[in-house]
Amino acid sequence: MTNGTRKLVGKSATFGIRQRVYQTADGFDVEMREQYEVMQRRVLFDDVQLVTIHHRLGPLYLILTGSIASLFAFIAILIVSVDANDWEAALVPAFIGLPFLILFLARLAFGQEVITIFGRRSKAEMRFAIRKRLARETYGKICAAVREAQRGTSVPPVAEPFPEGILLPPDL
Amino acid sequence: MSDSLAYRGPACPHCAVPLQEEEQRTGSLVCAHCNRAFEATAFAAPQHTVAPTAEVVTIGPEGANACANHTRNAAVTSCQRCGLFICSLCEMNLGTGSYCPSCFDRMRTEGSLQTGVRKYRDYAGMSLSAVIFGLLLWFPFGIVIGPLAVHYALKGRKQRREEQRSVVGVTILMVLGILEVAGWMAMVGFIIYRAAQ
Repeated sequence: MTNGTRKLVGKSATFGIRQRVYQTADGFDVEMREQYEVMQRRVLFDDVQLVTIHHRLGPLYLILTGSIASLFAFIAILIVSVDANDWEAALVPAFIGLPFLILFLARLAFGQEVITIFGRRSKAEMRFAIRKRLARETYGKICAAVREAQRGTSVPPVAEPFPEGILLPPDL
Repeated sequence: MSDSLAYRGPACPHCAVPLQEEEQRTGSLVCAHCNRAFEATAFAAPQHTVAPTAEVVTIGPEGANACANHTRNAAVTSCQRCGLFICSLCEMNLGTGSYCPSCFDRMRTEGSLQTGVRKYRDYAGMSLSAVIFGLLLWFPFGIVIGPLAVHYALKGRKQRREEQRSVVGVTILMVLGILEVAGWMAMVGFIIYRAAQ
């Protein structure tokens, strides 16, 4: 369980598992939901080794939405082909299939941006459909946050010795 | 669980084939396995330095107690649960106190360790499903599904409070569950009234 001091960075949904990634003070909280079971894991800033971003279409998603849209389109065409005057009845399957057709075309046109954060022990994944710009911004913010955190934990630079001839306070 | 066990470090985001250390660099990369492109930013994750453990031999028996698990090591604290002396290798500091590994394991198994809980049930989601089913099958199943929705909403409310999250959504679900029961009772009352007439 986590407290309320976290910010949602991104989500990812695959068949069966939904993931939500939150940014906290020391890393990323990943909540994986499988039906009603929630599993948590963390990717600490200190552990991040690689952050990637890539573009994907998701063939399985395209096949699924495309098939459903085609099925309803086929039913609508079948109704009209049997009786051309019965176009009103064909509207029902056409309207049911329309959202799937929109989803199919939107994915085909825009694709999906995927950000993956690879840590030492675990990883986090976020998917951004349509919003490419937001994905880029999030990627930049994640990299900046990790860079900042790892800079803070790295070995501090050795202080340069004072040049000779400069008068120092007595406690130095 | 299986996912975290299967995790083998940075990999190609397309084909999930592990990337060699020299392949983990900043810029536009092409996977040698699947030939697909991706953009990456590599980080040199700082190595965690383990604080040296003081040995009893160097401190002397007067200066320190020996760790119960590592007799050569000097104990730095005692377990808050069982009182066992533990060295810095054994110490499991959870912010709320220090515990020995066996107590930590036991508490995690029992579920009494809140910070160790990594898997739990989403009662708010269960309540939402119950409310939706209750609305669809309100009559005749509202009397069963309504209380179930309220029960899960109450559990979800407690869970959200522990997480310091808003309870507004869960409260709405609770009210809807109560309304389902009330609606079912009104319907039954109406049927009885009509039958009596």
